[in-house]
Amino acid sequence: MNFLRNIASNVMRAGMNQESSDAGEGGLSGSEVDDAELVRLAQSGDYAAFDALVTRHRGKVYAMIMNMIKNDADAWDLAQDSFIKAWKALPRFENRSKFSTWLFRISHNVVYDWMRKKKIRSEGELDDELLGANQIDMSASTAPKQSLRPDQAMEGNELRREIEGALNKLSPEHKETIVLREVQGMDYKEIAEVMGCSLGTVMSRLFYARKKLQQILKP
Amino acid sequence: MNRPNDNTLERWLEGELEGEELLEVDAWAESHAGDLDEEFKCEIGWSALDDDFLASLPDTEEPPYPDFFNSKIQQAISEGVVQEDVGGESGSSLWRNLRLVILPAAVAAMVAFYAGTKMQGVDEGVDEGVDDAVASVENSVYVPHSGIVADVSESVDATEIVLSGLAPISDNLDIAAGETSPGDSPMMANTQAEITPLTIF
Repeated sequence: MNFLRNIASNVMRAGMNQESSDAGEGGLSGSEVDDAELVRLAQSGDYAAFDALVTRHRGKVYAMIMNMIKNDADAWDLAQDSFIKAWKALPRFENRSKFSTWLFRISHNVVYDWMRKKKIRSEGELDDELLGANQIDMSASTAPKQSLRPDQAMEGNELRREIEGALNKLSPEHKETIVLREVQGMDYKEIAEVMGCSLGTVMSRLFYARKKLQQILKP
Repeated sequence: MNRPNDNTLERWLEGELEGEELLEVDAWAESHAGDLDEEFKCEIGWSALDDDFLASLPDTEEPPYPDFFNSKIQQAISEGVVQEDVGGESGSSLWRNLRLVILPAAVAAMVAFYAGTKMQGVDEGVDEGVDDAVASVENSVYVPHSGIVADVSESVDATEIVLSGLAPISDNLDIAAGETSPGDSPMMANTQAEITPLTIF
């Protein structure tokens, strides 16, 4: 009970102190404080520490979800839910895995719950959003940020469209495995942890996902 | 354990191994996952695609309105609102798409409105003139019956209208039935006789 009260008061206080905390020398958003320390502080009810974790990981979580569902607004909502659930589950986090892996595991569950519910709602109908093939927007914010020459940009967009189109032809499990490995650079064991499956399943999904992508992308 | 033969590895990939055999191959694969993956990649000629993947899909991307993103999380947590129904019936996708634009616009509009109310004092002279012009317009009451005079008097918090020349209201008048004079109710009127048949030539 005291723990909850402590969290509540810190949440309220953090709202007022956040700016000074981040701006000050002892700010928590800097990379000098590692995740484990921020997690420890957050677990003791320090919301500013959790906010620093959000700031640090929101880009990866959002990008991962965007790569899965290709919709800015839904990705924004689901990333929000992931962090809110992470805060709720934080007292149970035991540092046995990296915080980022644990957070990806939560995001994975959030995305699959959302996809399952979306599928149930659209049962019997052809759901273009789930198929995803027609969802690819060349002007979507996932476009590479750096300025390129027009011809380079066009070439890059073309390649990206091809790869995203190919990814969307994979099952969600195959797509997620390949994105976690090739884009997020996770090791096989981390992927197994995030997806809640065995190492063999990860290797198998990677093998078949690559094989199918290779067939689709082959000129 | 030595490297499993190709047939065993294939069955492992297919999820066909069980029991002791599965545990052995899992244990071997855990320490050789990288090599095994490279082997699989070579088998399908994958390595050429690696760079393309890394270049085309971002591994990190800031969500739109990142500060707002953080503050919404804080708000949800401080209000104790943790949605169990993740992304469930949360409205149409059109609304959700618009929301990213509408929410900041609403905040901006509120700020602009607040600033506007604060700036009103600067232009008070202009506004006072308008108020005077409005106040100088006299109230007038339209009375459809001749011989009846409407007298309007205004105070700070009330406007009083006195009609002079009206006949006293009879106690027999059934206002609820819509009577305008005793026994004359539109609800009881026989309009059938007044209807003139329409003749078409």
